[in-house]
Amino acid sequence: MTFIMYIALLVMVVGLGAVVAHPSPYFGSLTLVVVSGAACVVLIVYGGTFLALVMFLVYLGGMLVVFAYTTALAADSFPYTLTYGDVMLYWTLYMGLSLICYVKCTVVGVVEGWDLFENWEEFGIFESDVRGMALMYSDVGSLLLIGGWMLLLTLIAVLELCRGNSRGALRAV
Amino acid sequence: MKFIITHIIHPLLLIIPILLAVAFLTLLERKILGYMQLRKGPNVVGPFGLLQPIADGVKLFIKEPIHPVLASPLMFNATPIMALSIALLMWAPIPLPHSLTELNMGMLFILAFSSLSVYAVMGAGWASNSKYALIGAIRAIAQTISYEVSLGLVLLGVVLLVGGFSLQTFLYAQEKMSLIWFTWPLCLMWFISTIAETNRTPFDLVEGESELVSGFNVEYAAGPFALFFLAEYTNILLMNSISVILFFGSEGVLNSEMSTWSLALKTCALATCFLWIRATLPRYRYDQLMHLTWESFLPLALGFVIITYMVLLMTAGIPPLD
Amino acid sequence: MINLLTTMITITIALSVVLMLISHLLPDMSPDFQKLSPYECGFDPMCSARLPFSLHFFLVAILFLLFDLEIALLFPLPWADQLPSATTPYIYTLFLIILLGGGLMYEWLQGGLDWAK
Repeated sequence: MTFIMYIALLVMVVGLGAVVAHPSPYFGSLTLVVVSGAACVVLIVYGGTFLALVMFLVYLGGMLVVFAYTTALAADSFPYTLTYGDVMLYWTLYMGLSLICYVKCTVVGVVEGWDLFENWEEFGIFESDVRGMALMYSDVGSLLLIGGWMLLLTLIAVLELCRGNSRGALRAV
Repeated sequence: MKFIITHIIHPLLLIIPILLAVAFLTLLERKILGYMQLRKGPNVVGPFGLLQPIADGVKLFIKEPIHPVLASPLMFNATPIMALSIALLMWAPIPLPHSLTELNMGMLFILAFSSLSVYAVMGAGWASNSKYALIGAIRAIAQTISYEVSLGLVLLGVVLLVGGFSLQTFLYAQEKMSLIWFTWPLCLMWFISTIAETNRTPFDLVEGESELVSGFNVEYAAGPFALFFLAEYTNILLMNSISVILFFGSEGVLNSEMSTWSLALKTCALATCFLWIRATLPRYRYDQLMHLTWESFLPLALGFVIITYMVLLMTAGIPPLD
Repeated sequence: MINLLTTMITITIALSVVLMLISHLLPDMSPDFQKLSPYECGFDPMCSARLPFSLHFFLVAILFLLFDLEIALLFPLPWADQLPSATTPYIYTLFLIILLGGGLMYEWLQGGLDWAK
C-alpha cells in the first residue's frame, strides 16, 4: 500500500506541476482530472472509499464542465501541450521546486507517515467515512442545509448568467 | 502459481468471454435488424454467418488506421485505449453471481467510471480537430451527463430499498422477489436512461448519420475505431447486466448453478430489447431528448426517492446494513 | 499491495494498448495528403474546427454538476436512515429535495430548460 501511496502522491505532484505549467485550459483541465484521480487513490489508501468515489464523481463532473466551458467559449486551434519548449521549461522548474521542498521536508522530518484512518478501524461496523457522512443527516444537519442552500443559489446565479442568447450576461462570441 | 491463477487467469477469464459476447452481439444485431427488415443479414461467412464477427475483427485490424494531420496525436491515440479499458474495468465488481472483486461500493464505482468514459468521447471528438467530430462529442457530453443525473437518482431510490451500494447486496435483497414488481416506474426510467447513456437509437443523436456522418469517431478508422466499437458494445452489455442485477434479481436461484444462466438469459433478453427498439423507433429530436430527462425523469426520480424513503419509514421496513 | 482491482486495471489497460499496437503494426501504412485531411464532405476545410460553441451546452453542464452534487449529498442516505432518530434524516432529506426541486422548478419556469427557441 505504501508503494501505491507513493505513486499516487508522485502523480499528484507531477500532475499539479503540469496543471500550472499549461497555458491552454484544455490540457489544464484534463491534467486536473488525472490529479483528482490520484487524489482519490490517496483517499482510498487512507481508508475513505466512499469519500474517494464521491469526490471522483463530483470532480470529474466539475472538470467536465470546465472542459465544456473552454470548448464553448475559447477557440484555440493549436493549444500548447507539454511537448512545447516553454511549457516543458516551466514544468521542469516546478518539478525542481517540489523536489527541493521534498528534500527539505524529509531532512527536517516533517513527513511522518500516514495512519490517519487506521486508528478508527475497530470503532464499528460502518466504515469511518460513511459514518461521518451519515452524521450529516442528524447532528450536523446544518452543514447539509448550507450545502443545499448553496446549490440553490448557484443554480439561480448560473441561470441568470447564461440564459438564452440575448438576455444573459455571458454570451457566446 | 496461485498468484498467476487468481491475478492473471481470472481477469482474463472475465475479459475474453466479454469480448466474445460483444462480437456475437454485433452479429445478433445485424441478424435481428436484417430479419426485421425482411432480409437475411450476414449469412455467407461460416454457417448462418456465425464467423462474420471474426472476419470483421480481422478486417478492422488489418486496415490502415488514419491519423489526420490536424489531430493532436497523443490524445487522438489515447482516447480509444481509455474507452476500451474503462468499459472492461467496469465489469470487475459485477456479480455473475460471484464478482471478480467484491467492492463495498460497487455501484458507486461503476457510476464513477461510467462518468469517466464521457472523457474518452469528449477527448476523441476534440482531438480529431474536425467539425463533425466536435459537434458529435459536445452533443454526446450533454446527453450523457443529463441522463447520468436521472441514472443516479433512480439508483438512489433502489439503494434505499436495498440498503447498500454493493452489488452483492442487490442479489441478496431480491432473493425472494424481484424489485421490478414494486419499482417498475423506476425500472422503466432506468432502462430508458441506459439506452440514452449508451447513445443508442432512438437517442443516437451523437451519430445522427443524416447530419453528423458518424459523430465523435468520424476521423477514426480501422483499429482505433474497432476499440471504440468494442467499448460501445461492452457498455451495452454492462448496462443490461446492471439492469438485471438491480431490478430483475434471481428469484430463488441465488448461489445455485442456475443463477449465472438466469442472469445471462435476462441480460440477453434486455440486449435484444435494445436491438428491437433500434429496429422500431425513429430518432428523437434534441429538444425532446433534453425535455425527457430534465423535465420528466428528474422530477419523477426526486419524487420516488422521497416516496420510497417515506414508505420505508412508515412500514418500519428500513433494510439491514449490508 | 497487489490486489485484484489494480491487476484488473493493469490488465485492461495493457490489453487495450496491445490491441492499439496491433492495429498500427499489422497493416501497411501508405498515408497521403488527401487521406489525412480532416473529413469535410469532399472539401478542404475552410476555417478552424475549434469554433466557439453554443452556451446552452454549458448551461446543461453546470446543471448536471449541481444535481450531481445534490445526488452526492443524498448518497449517504442508506446509512443515514440507520441512525437512532428515524425521522430527523427524513426531514433533512425532504428539505434538501424540496430546495433543489424548487430550484429546478424556477429554472423550468424561467425557460432555462427550453432547448429550441
